[in-house]
Amino acid sequence: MIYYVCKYTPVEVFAGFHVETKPLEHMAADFEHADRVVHANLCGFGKSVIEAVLSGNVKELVLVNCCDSMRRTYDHVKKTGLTDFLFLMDLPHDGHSFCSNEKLGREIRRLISEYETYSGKKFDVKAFFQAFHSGKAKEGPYIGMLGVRAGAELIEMAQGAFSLPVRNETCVSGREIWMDVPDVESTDFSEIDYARSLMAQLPCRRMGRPGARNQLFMDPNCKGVIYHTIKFCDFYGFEYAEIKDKLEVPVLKIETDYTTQSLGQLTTRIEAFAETIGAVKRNDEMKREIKENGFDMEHPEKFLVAGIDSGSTSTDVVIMNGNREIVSSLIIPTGGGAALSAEKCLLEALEKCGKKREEIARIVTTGYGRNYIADGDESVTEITCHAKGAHYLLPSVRTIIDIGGQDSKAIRVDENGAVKNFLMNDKCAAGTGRFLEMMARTLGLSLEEMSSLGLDWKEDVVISSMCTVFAESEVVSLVAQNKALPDIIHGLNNSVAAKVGALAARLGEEGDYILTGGVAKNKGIIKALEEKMNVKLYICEEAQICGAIGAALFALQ
Amino acid sequence: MDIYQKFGSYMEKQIVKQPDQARKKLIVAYRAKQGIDRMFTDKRVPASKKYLTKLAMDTMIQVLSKPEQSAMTSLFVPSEPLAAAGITPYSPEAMSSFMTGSKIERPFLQKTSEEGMPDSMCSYHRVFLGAADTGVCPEAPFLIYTNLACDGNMITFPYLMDKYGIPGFFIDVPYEKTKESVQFVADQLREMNVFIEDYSHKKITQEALKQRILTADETLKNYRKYLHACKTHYIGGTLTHEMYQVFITHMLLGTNQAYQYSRMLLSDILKGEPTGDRTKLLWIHMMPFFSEPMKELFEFSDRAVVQASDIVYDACFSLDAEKPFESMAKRMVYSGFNGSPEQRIKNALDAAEYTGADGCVIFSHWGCKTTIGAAGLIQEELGKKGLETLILDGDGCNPAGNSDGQTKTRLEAFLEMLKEKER
Repeated sequence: MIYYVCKYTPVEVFAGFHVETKPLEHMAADFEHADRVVHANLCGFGKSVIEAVLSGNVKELVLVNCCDSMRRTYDHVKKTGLTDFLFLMDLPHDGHSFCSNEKLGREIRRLISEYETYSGKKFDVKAFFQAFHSGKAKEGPYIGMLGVRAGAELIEMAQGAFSLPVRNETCVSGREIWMDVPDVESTDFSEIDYARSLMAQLPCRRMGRPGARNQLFMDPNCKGVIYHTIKFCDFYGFEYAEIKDKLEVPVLKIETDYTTQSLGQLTTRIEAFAETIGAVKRNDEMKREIKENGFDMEHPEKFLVAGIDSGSTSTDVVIMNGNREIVSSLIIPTGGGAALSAEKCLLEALEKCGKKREEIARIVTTGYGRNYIADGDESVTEITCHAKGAHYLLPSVRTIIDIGGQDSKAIRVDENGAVKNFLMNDKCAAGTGRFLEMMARTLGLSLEEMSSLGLDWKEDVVISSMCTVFAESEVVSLVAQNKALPDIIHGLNNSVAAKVGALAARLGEEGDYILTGGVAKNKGIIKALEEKMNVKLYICEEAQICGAIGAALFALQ
Repeated sequence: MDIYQKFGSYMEKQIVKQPDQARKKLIVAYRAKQGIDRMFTDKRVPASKKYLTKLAMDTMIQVLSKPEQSAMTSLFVPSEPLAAAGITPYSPEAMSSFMTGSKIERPFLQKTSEEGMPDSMCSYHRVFLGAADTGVCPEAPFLIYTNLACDGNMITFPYLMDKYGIPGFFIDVPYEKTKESVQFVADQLREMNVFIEDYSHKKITQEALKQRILTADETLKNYRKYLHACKTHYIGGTLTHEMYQVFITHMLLGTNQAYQYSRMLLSDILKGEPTGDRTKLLWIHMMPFFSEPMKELFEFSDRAVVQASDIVYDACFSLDAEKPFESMAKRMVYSGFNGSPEQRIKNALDAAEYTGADGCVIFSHWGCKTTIGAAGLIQEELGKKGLETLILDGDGCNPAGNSDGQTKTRLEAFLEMLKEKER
């Protein structure tokens, strides 16, 4: 089996040797082996190729000189000596020039020659020509997965979330080669014609003239775009920045490190996106009938529902009546698992308002632990719930800034509280509650002390590092320089504000603004954010339970 | 807070509030800096390096004040045809270094984050993209770029073409180092010459180009002699001076000024003091010239000296004025920054031998996949030949991407290790 990684690979050549080919498309579980031989900052796909070779799964491999990372991947794979056949094809950048096609033609001849030497087989021109066949035209509405290659696991996960088919149009997919096949028995082929056919494909972003890619973003059948990037793959990260404001369909940007470990966090975002564009694939469990028989139109205040937000740091419960009034609410630290914390929090919240579990007609769960809570009738992502909750707290809200323990988000909502667009931080902890917790620990302070101490700053200390690890080292060195604590905290607040402010700026300016999540209690962060964004943030007592309020409102619906 | 930090702080606010004014103030500040340098001359700096500073500053001031007389070029684009046409090379990488040196890189990096450009991209490109987007850096009439050395070029330059609506020329350098590859590039360089003539409205005569190639060749010959003299002689300088060498071997190569500098440099080193006990280092890749611990260790230091960087040594190629396009093409195709790391390893070993380096530092610049991906392989191969090598992670153009504590500890430990080995 010949594995390949790029759609420009001349795979028809291998049909001429009667050998099967397959794209190398599985995400690695981790980079246990690859990290031992290659720098951590090489792109995840490159590392997944090295991982596959080191684990002995790939013996025959054709790589393409597509980018700096793939060139270095080739060097490392070659050094392992674990492949039986390894070929790096030099791919020109310009498919429109004769010289480039001539050059690629020479590479194709070189590939044939090297495979003949390796396999001892003779190239069969007839079989080669038979490998060309026209693809089926794709019709009907779909969700486009664009950007850099998405692993089979990611495609499968996305497909499970949408009611529409997910079409993989990432860089390695959509391979379409057209070539005139001679009628008469031919003993040779024109490598330049074949090269021209390969180069005539819809260009990947790395090519010299990627303008034709616009057709990917303008297809009227495309009802939504999931744009995938891999950490350290700049071509597609940059393309997203270029096209994000031009797209006329809803778009969700996701970033992975090309391991299956990334998929957990992405499930939330992809499901939220499906909710946003009204293309959710609901399974039977999710389609439970709403229990309307408990609703008394005469006394809606007696009808009770609950929303549970199971976050990484805290679990929040809101009990609401049919008048959309909050009857009880409670926040407890998440500990001992999402299900246990949720149950405990719900029971204590019920106790607080003197109600019983049986009186709750319906429960909606949200947050990271939402799918692990058995009590819930339905689960909705925290993005949709935050939007609903924020609209409840401030009907004029259009932008929600949520800084949670594990992630930060900027959510744009319409006048009805429906999500129009949202952005989340990547896996990095900078700009999250976790960052502040770590810095508080480094400074030997409580979060409450951090909240107010930073307001009394005198010197404008700059914490330039966004990376939590570097920032910690910077803080340690500032302490060693006897810098005043308020000044350091002010620097940290500005650092968080810069990260979160950038997230909001990418969403575009539109008020009113609300700050939600646990960090909304931090006065220093509020001030720094307001200054950075040059807007007034709406802060309220219920800011931390915004997600749970949204979940309760969904339960009412 | 030193004067540079104060200036950076003031300019950061200017960039956000009045980007159009910020450029004018930068030009004034750079001119003022030249005046200060003339009045308060540092006696430790040899004449050649003072001249080098002037050349680099002049180039940047020229680009900022008269962009219409410049062409945006990536670092490895041959400079001789531009020199023949009298066009100032406007290198985004060099401009970014100047912005970082002026301590104003943060608003530009922030701008790229706000635009959603990936943070994993090389900061030399990100700083420039931010500077272009804010309007601080001006547009040029046309641009030329190549895939050589960095994928970042393939992103930055097409973006600038679209943003400014200016014509661009791309030089595709093949992976393999073969005669066919040289011919393939030489043909493109011939087209590039015509492109420059078309868009600059200046004629590049065969004679003028030949003269520029001859001048470049003489410059590089002097430079090689200088590097060899470094084996036994020492002249002081700053890390910024070391960074400026790239102006001579790349952007300004082929100009009379670069040649003049190379002569002065050779003369200075031959009069220099013996290297003595200083640990001599070969540097691979870019250099974080702003790093305080590195300045402490290497600037006018009796302890250690960075003698050469591989990016500069790589350019020291013999050129044949009778075959100008083939010569320039060969320099690109056979560059250590093209293709597999084998050539880069060979260059590093040659350079270490030639300059008598005691050890080597590979700077794994954040976002540079070419170097990051090859760092381990280069280290291993150099180690096999007895050249101790340190891989130092950091960022050459974004101070926030470096940890001073780590840099200091790792470099000092490496120097201690080399000294121990000497004993």
